[in-house]
Amino acid sequence: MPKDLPWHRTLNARMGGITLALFLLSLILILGNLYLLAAIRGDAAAINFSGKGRMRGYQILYLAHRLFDVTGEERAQVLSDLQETMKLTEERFTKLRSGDEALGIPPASDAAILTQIAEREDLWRREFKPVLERVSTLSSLEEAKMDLSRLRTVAKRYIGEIDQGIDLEEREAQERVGQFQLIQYLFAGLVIVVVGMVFRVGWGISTRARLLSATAERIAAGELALSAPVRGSDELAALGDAFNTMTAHLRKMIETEKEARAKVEKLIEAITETANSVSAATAEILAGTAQQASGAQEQVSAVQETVTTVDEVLQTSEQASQRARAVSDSSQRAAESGKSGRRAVDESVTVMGTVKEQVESIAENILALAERAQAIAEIIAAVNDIAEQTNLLALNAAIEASRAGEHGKGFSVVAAEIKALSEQSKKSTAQVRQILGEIQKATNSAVMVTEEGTKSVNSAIKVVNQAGETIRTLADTIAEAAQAAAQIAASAGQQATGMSQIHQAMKNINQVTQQNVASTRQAEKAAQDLNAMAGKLKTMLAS
Amino acid sequence: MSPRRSKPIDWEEARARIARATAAIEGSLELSPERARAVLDERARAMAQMPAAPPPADRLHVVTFALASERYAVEANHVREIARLTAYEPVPGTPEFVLGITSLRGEITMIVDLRRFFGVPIKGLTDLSRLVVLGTEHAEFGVLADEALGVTDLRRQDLAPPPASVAGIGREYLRGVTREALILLDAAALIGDRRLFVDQGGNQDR
Repeated sequence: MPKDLPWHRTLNARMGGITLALFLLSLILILGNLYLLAAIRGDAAAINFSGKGRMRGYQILYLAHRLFDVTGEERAQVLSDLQETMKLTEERFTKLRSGDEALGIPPASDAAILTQIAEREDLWRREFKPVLERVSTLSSLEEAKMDLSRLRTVAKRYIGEIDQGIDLEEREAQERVGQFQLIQYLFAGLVIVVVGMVFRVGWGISTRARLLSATAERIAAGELALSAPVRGSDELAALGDAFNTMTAHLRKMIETEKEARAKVEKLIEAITETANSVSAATAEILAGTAQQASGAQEQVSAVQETVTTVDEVLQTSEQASQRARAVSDSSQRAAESGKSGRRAVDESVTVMGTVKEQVESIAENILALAERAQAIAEIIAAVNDIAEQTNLLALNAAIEASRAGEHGKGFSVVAAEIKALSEQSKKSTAQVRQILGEIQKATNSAVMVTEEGTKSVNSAIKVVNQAGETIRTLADTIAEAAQAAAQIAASAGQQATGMSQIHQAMKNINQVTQQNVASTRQAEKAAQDLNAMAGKLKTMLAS
Repeated sequence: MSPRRSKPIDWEEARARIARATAAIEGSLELSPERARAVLDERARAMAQMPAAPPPADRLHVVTFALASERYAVEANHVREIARLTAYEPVPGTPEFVLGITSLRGEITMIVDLRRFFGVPIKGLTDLSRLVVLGTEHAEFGVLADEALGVTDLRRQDLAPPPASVAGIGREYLRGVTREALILLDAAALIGDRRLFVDQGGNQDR
């Protein structure tokens, strides 16, 4: 439904409005009927009540006459009945005037009825009631004859009044009934009008819908040039507009379809050409897929070989990793040994220093000894000199003794003795000198040896330092080697991991390659199918 | 003592040896009472053994000395003394066999080299540290010697005349040669030789 349609123009609003109006009218009618019926009922009650008044009038007349027929107890009873009835009659006027709910009497509203009631009351008060009161005081019929006759006339007039009132009320009731009937007729007429309107609207809708449907059928049959009749501005009008728009669009579409068909023909030509080339291409693809299949087969075997090789490499790398770990461990131990070696070398250097000092002190001692030996040699020289001089003295003494002849004999013995002693001491000094010479030689060689020893110690210190340096270098090298071995171990581990990953990857590749082979076969099959389809397409296009 | 020892030193033994040596040195400085007594006893015995044998007439008291490779002897009664030659002064204008002069307790003494005097060829090394001073009443001159050997007795019959090969100037100064090749010089002849006499007047013909 087009949105610009005003709401009060819609079919919905129209139909709904009619229905709502009908409903409201019905409601008003029902309420009016209820009211009128109530009024009618009140009227009926009032008429009834008035009828009862007439009966009261007669009752009073009867009781007034009866008053003189009975005596004593009975008369008192009658009197009280009469008074009771009088009282009730008096109450009736107020009830008539202002209504009584218990009796269903509405208060009097009509002016004629009200004046009639007032006249009646007036009659009652001024004539009927005073006569009646006088009668009730009287005791003999004789005395009451006049009054009783007067009472009968007054009563006649009163009852006539009541009848008049009843007539009035009946007239009013009749009027009301007439009103009620009129309302019923009016409502019936209204209903007929509304139904007529509904029929009219429905008819219009149906006619227009039929027209639209006929138009649609004709459009469906191909009369696209037709345009639907559009009247008014409701939904059907919108529908008609939509129909017209639709047909216009359809016309346009058909035109475009024509153009498209031309294009499709061109396309089909192109497809034919393409089918030809597809046929050729599929042949080539077939050849290619065959090659690919054999290639994939080779790839499968190559991949399997690679997997085997990778397994071997994996084993090797694991072994390498283990060995590298072992090398790392042993090189670490070697590094420890190198450290202790360095400590030993340092200790050796210290000890060598001590040895050197000791050797030097030995050399100094030996030199001191040699110097002491020198002193001994000097002493020995002195002793030797003394011995020589003694020898000479002995010689000279012997010479003197021999020159003295016989007298010098004893002296010559002493001289010989002295000479022997001096020679002995000379010999001893010679021995001492020899020993000193030996000591000198020994000290010389000892000094030389200690010098050599010092030199040896120096060179040993040098060598030990070199050894320490070598060990340090070696330790460093070993540490580097240990680090390198650790790195190698780590690398080997990584290599092993990498190899296992390669192994997994090769397995995947193998799987993929086999899938590839399958795919190639499928491709081959597809190419064959494609070739067949191309052939079929060609024959189809040719026909 | 070898400079290199293959065997390690046994320090215990070395200490023992040092102790022994120390003891020996200390012991050598002072004689034990036994040793002293033994020495004295031996000396006494030696003295007691000396017989009072009369010197035979045929024996000569000689002083023997060595010069170069020869041994010589001179009669003791012609030897004044034997002195050490410590220093000497060569004297110019003296014969070749005069080595020089030296002072013996203030007395100027001429030094004669017998090798040059006898014309014996000089060969080998010598000490030349002794001077055998010849003279009877007083010192005449000193004969250069390597070593004074001592005073000894020499039997006359042991002496042989000098060999004939010894000729020339030296023969008249030789009295004989023993079997031990000890040459007995004629000291008196040497002392009496004018050539060997240093005259104060300076009659030097050579």
